[in-house]
Amino acid sequence: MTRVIVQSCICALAAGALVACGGMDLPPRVAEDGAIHLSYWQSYNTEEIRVFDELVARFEAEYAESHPDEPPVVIDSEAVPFDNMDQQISTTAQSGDTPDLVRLDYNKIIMIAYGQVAVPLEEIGNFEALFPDDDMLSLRDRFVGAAYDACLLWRLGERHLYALPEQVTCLALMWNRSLFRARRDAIDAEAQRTGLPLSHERPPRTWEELAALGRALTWEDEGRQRYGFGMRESLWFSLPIHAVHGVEVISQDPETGRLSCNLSSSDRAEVLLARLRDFYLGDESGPGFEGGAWSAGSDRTDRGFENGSYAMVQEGSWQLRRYRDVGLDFGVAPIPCLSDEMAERLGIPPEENIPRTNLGGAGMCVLRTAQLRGVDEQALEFIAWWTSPEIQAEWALALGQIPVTLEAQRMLEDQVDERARAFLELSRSAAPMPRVPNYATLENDIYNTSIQLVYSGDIEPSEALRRIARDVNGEILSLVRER
Amino acid sequence: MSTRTLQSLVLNGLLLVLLFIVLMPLLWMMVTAFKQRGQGMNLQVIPSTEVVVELGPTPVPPDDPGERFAPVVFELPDPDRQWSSVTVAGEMNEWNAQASPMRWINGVWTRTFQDLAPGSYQYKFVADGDGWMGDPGNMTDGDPGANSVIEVGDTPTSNIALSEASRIEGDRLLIDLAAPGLSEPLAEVRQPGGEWVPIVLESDGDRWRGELDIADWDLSATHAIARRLRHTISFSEAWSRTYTIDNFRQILTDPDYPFGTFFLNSLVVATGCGLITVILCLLAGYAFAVKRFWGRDAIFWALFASMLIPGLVFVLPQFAIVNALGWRNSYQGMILPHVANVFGLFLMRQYIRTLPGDLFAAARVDGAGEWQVLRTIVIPLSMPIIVTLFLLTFMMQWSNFLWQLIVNSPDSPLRTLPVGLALFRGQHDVDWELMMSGACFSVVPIAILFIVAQRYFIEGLTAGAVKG
Repeated sequence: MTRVIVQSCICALAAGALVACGGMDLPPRVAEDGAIHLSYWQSYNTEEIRVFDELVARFEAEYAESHPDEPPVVIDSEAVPFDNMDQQISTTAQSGDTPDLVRLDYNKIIMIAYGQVAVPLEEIGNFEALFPDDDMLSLRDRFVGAAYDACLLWRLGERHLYALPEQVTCLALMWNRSLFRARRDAIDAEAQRTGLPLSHERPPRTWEELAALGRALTWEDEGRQRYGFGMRESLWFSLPIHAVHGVEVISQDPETGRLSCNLSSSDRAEVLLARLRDFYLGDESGPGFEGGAWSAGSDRTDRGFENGSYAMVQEGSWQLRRYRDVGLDFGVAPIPCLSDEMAERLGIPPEENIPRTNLGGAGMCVLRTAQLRGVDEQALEFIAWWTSPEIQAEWALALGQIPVTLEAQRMLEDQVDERARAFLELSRSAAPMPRVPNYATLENDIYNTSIQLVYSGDIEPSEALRRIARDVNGEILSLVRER
Repeated sequence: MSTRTLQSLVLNGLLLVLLFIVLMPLLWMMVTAFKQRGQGMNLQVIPSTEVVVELGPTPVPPDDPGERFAPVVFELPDPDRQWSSVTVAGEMNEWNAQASPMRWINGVWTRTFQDLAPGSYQYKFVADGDGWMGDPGNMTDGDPGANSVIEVGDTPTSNIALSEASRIEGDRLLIDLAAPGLSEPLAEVRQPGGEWVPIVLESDGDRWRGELDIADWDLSATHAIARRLRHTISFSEAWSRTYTIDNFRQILTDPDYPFGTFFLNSLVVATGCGLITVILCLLAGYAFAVKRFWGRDAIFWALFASMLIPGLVFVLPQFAIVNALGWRNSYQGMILPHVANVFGLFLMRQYIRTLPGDLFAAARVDGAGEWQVLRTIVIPLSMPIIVTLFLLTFMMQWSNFLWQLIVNSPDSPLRTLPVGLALFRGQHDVDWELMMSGACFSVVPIAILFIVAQRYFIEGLTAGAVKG
């Protein structure tokens, strides 16, 4: 309820920014020290801040050198709690003291775009000068596609670029080699029973193999229950399996940008949900093997994988260092695709039946304040510099992250280990996330609650899909259509 | 053993268990606050003296024997990190100063090339984007500005002595590590899809060397062989690798996380809220309990009914008012919206109503005015509930997050502790060690207040519990 109230208020507050802008007291374009100060709100962790400060000092020096006749630029970064960035923006929009630049989660960019707090980047004067060889659409080829798509949004029947990708995260299948070896006999037996090419030496390649391996890896180990698979309940964590099954939670008309949720009429979605339910409850092939990571009181997938409760989980690149540090013997593999039979049954052509993943991370936006102060060109220049391949490669190397530009990824491919390389490859096949103004409501209040009822066997998948489609169309997309 | 003794033992045991359960989170918080960064979620309290270091994987050469596959490593020592970035440019990357960024690890900038053909390569390092320089450890004719040259052969190559020269040669996997100071390390390599296999290492000066016959291994589907190194350290070293006081030092000195300021702001806000709330509620409670005026009960119950509305509903109108008054980023904006506390009013009114009416009548007969009645009768007799209300308000405002977040902009110097603690929570990870260090500060005032005022607090909470 709390989240609903807050989320519902955000759009209205953000829209109030325009009103506030009219009479607000903006900082001068050039400060008393003779420099243009760009305020930048971010939510980096302490390690990221250290690297950020070093890189920003370089930008400031390079800018001063390349623009000798202009005032120097100083980036004033301010830390904001990650979970509350949208609240901070919407409340400060009321008083008109939003920052010039903000680093915002992809699923929240649409909120400030619709609230007219963010400036379309292609409308800023030096856009063409900074990207002379590209227009708004071709610029996509430089970036991880799904990340760029998350920044390229429809508003009032037109597409605008409201941010450039600044960080990319995604999920991959992590598998515990020790547990696989420990269950070698069970895996061989399951391979014989199912006729699938299972092995204790490699991760599953299809969801059918994952199910068979999951059953073999679910056992009671000297009084301790171990599970073959663990999956978080959240929509974001289940987007890879949605993408592999060709299911779009929110569909967008490529011509008009009109959004709709067609899950209630999607056979693919019904198959997917039934499969997820069977993972937990079991089916005629055998008992369930999903450890209920989505249910209250269970180990989350990150902890459960670390302590050996789950043999396979979907987790992100941010866990690599932690798992390495605790000495876990694990591998990283692509998210499995479908078997040929299942792909054919669902009407997915072979060339589209490939490992897919989801997209997370953040984009960097220029806010209306920068435009009103006349510093939007400097802000865009900083974004262009920050997202350049060289800087992205340095940032990613120093922090073990996935670069947002493809060129930077190429520069790093021989510098990272096989696990990190798997994430680099997967990020390029990421599916765009649902672009809706209140993603948190979609995830927490609509999707997760219905899916949990399916997992626990209380409602059928078709009923859950009907409820999700009804609520998404009624509570979320109706807001967008009214605009 | 008598039944009474047994009962006592069982009760004491249960109490101990209960105490342990209650104090467990507090203990975990304190232990985590002293953990080295990245070890907060490691539940091992006593540090292990056995250390396992994951080494980089050894690349498996391609099947084509004509194709060279020996890594070439460029290293540039920079213990104080005087440069923020360094790249290596040379004939191997067509002198592109951006193509090959180096990575700073433990005081050395490093870059590895896996696919250089044998031959001679000129190169330079480029510091901070434009500082071209020859390799200080491999200068040509002693000229720091001249191009350095590296000869690439068929074995691993580096511009300085390789700290890690492990490789696969034919059917042998060679381990060759510079690991000075280690005592009897044991290397392990993982057979593809199989178990970890130990390799005994022998000391050779500053290096440790060993080899393993891998003729039977199937490397056809593998690009690299995982390796790790086991060695033992002393308990004191293990302790210092696990625990530190640096977390406290960082949160007290890091300008990005000014916890001293956060603490002071929280103290001002919580104390201010507590004091003003107590004064307002005492006066209002006295009026509603003792004075008779038109609509007294109706007003009281109307106020009381407002408690049924969720507090979050008030946030937006309160913010609009505070914003219109220009009180954002100010103490009055942080304190005043919370001092009209209906619960406190209710608490005070109910308590003052239990005071004997004869006391008030006697005071009036003696000619006492309202102020005297309040000062000499109501306040002394209501001290337990006054302290209780102060403590409750203090605690509530000490941990108030949402309001203090939105009423302050991120550059405000008035941000409070809960907002500061939230900065350590990222999208996917939480900086537990720093967060717990900050949290240690947050429990101190509450603990002191409870110790000082526990008598009043318990009296206040139990007032009316027993009929006399």
